[in-house]
Amino acid sequence: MKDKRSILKYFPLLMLGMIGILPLFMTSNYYQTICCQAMLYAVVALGLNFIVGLSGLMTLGTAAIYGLGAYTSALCCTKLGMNPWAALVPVLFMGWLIGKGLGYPSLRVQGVYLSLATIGFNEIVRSFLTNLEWTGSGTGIRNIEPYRIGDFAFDTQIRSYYLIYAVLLLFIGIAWKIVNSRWGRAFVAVKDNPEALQICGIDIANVKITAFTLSSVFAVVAGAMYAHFNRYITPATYTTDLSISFVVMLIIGGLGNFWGCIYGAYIVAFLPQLLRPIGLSYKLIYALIMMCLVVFFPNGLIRDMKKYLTFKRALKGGAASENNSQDR
Amino acid sequence: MKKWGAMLLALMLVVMAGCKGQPASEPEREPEQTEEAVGDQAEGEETPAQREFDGQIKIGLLTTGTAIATYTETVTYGAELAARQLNAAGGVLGKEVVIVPSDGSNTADETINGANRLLEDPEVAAVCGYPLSTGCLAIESLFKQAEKPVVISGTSVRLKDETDNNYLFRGRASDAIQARNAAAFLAEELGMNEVMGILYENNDFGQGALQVVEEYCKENGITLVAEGFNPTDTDITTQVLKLKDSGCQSVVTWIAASAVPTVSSNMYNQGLTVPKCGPVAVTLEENLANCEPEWIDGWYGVTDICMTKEDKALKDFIAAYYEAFGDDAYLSNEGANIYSHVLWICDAIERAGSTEGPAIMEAMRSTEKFPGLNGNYQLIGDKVDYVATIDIAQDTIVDGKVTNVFIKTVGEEQ
Repeated sequence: MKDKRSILKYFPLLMLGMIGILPLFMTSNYYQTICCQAMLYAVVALGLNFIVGLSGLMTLGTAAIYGLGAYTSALCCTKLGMNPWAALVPVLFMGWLIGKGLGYPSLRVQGVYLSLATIGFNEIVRSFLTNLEWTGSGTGIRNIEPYRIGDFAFDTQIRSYYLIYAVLLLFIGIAWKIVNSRWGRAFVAVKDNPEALQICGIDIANVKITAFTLSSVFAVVAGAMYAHFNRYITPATYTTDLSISFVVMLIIGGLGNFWGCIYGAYIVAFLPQLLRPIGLSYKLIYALIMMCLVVFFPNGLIRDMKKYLTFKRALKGGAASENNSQDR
Repeated sequence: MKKWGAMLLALMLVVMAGCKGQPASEPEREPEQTEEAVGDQAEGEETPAQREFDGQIKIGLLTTGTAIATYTETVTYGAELAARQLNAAGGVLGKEVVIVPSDGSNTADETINGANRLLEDPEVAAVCGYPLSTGCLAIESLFKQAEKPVVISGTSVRLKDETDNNYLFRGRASDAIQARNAAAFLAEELGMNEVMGILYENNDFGQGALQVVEEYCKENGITLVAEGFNPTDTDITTQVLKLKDSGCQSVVTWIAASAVPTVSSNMYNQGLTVPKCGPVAVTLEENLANCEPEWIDGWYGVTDICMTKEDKALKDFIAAYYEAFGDDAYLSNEGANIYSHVLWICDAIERAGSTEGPAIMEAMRSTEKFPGLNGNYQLIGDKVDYVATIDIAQDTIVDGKVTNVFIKTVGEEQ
């Protein structure tokens, strides 16, 4: 039993290793593109986990932040001729700015009101991007150059895959560090016991704003990577639907569950593609599966499966000891 | 335990219902109809099933899936009908034409995924379909890289202005032609040439038209009053009243299907009675059915093909379509366009004598007056555009029901 548990403990690392070697077996551009999308979603979900998962604040404006990251980087490169790596500086600044900007309203409004405020933010950003001429209006920005290191351009699917994979590993490391730091504990305390936090002399406002800022930084970087990977962006991508999808990733992975963010991102990215052979009804089935997952695994797929297995094991153990006593 | 049982049961039911379907993106049809649906196939002639082909030529079909289900249905049927008619006539290069559908869900990301799925298949010789402009902009480089022709239906002028891709073919009139002709019809044909209004959706579709109409008005010294709205708005009274107060003599209403009832009812209720000309959406039967006849009566619309036009090829297509897929099958000009696109691609394959992408591309580029249902196909300028004509139709109440009346074909005949 102990061996099984220790294997399970290393499962996330095994999974990350598998993601790393996946393109060696999966040479299809189609699947590699979806994997890249899933990895970018995972970065966003890891950041969103600070707000929704740990701090318990419901935000539905993440797609707009993701989009602003994409547009900042794309505009810096196409209009100002900046190097994509250098464009990460204004991108990070944008993340910081949005985090502060969204963090302050979160001090005044909570629950459903915060959700509505962030939906409003999402729509405002999308409307601006659609209507401003210098953002390419409704048809967006084309010919965004890929990242380069010297003469080596990340311009093929496989190269982009490993670049995004490296970014994912980097952000997993950062997120892990944050979650296990005093900041991570403060985020959880905001959700579970804000009064205790105040008694300890910790500024709740500061904690919330930090959660928003960190989350925004993760989202803008993922957005920038997306722009240079796709090389074309359009405001139609950054809808409230996408924001909801990010939250769904967290819910499926388990709110506050660190590795669940990555499982959730992969499930949300891959499940619709796997269901496509069913035909036009695949979206209906996807929605039903999502509903079932949320209803039957409210704490996330992994956590509830673990609970179920532990419960089953306990039942078996109980039955076995009963049998043993009867035998005796 | 009950929970798990219920979940399993629900999943099984859902999967069973789903698996009953057909390949992705293909709408359902009666099985018995597929055998007889060979357009104008003569009696006693070999059926496609009986004929032996020397392999297959696959034509990819990018659809909008459930995002715009009516498009998907008519586009799939249109492509399928073209393939059946070609196969009934012996196929192309002695090979059977097979349509391979792929769902692009009408978003840029999913259109990329849909295109990648088709490009994965080395047997797919060329692709056509109905992604909108943003989807087309997202995928054009994939086809250039793969050296496979793609016939698109996105109408944005950016597809021509900002691309350098010989594998990109637009098989319908662009916004530059559609919106410009809508404005020109109001200004020149109806003489409303002082103040023009435009009501447009705040998305790539509406913005594209706005740019074109702005340019037209500037060139012709017409004052333009522009009012935008969000595609999800359920009331646009403010915009309508602003247009009314501006004293515009006519309005270009560049709106998508879902906005037709809202816009037309708001305009009717606010008494904006000036002539209006919109895109294809204001001529489509299913959109007209969502409106009270008086709301939309008298509106003009530019459309690739006015389905009530007296044209023998069009009449034959419509008859073959309903014969193949039943009288209840949904038909609109999107289906007719795709039918023409598949025939065009296959004509190019026949002329190229090859299914290699570069050879098909060269043959398509050198097309001379290929007779599509939506006009003659021939390269306009140096790239992308191949169709220069559109029809203008008017929504008219006939026997209490709104129907399209063909007014004229405009644009430069090739």
